[in-house]
Amino acid sequence: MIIDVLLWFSHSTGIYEFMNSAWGWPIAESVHFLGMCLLIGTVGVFDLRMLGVGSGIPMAELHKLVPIGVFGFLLNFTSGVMFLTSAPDQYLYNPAFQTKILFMLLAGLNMMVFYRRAMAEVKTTNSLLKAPANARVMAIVSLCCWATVIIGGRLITYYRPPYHWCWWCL
Amino acid sequence: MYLLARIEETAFSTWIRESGWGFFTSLTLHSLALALVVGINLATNFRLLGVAKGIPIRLMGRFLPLMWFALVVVVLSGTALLIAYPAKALTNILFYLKISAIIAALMITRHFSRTLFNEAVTGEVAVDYRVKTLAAIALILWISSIGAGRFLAYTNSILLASSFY
Repeated sequence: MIIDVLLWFSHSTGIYEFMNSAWGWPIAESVHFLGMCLLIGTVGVFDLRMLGVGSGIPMAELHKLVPIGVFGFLLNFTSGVMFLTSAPDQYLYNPAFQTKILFMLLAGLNMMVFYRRAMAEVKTTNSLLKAPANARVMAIVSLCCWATVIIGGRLITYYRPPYHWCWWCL
Repeated sequence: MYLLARIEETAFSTWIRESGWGFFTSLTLHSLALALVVGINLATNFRLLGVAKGIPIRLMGRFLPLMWFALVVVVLSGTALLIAYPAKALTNILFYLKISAIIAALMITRHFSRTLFNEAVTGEVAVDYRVKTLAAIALILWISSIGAGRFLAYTNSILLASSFY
């Protein structure tokens, strides 16, 4: 059912045809990896700064690189939708893919809590110091989530269980 | 080609190819570390091109020790992958383009590190058009190396040299 909807989407938009053309898949993968680098190079670096790496650099200013990371995530989302809808059976039943999505949602949730509860204080923290303790915990959660997302992404092509191994995939 | 076949026959090469864990671990470490290497370099070059102007340029070198450390991980994991399938990469021109792009981009990083990220200098560093041109070239080189790396997995003409012997 879900598979039919996803395939209908990729067929009706031309994505399926593009992804099955000679270089469609590696082009989408290149975009996916570029997006990953943009995300890690801005959001990941900001998380590391909160933990004390590169102290001296004001966190409020470093945070201004984050829109580039958001753009990177949009690249990843778009190319990810192209993978998913072109070969949904490779992903939906795949525990690596499911884990990856779960940790992306966790990263998103962590980000929402961070902006509500910690960002204001982080912005005014002295540039020579680490971020306050609650923000540091969220930085660690963020880094672990994104690392798991990358590991999950690499695992997708490794382990493909039989169809319908999980009841919630139906 | 004979030499490549001999490399493929070594215990280490066979282990990375066939253990499952060896190849997956190398591939995953390569991905995680390359995200840091390319990510930090992209962010640095974006700063030089005028994004997030509030970050003092002379302090931008403070993330570079982490970048060089991640580069060591990239090189080690990349070497493991190369030893697993030496003919696959070494017979593909994209591999040489990828390595050249990375070396050129790293030379630009080292140049910036010596000239711009100088913490002894007080006040803001001037970014002229030459710096911006170099930063733009570095961005293109990093993006090309990512593309070449992905296309490497799809454009090999030979998978294993040992299949010829």
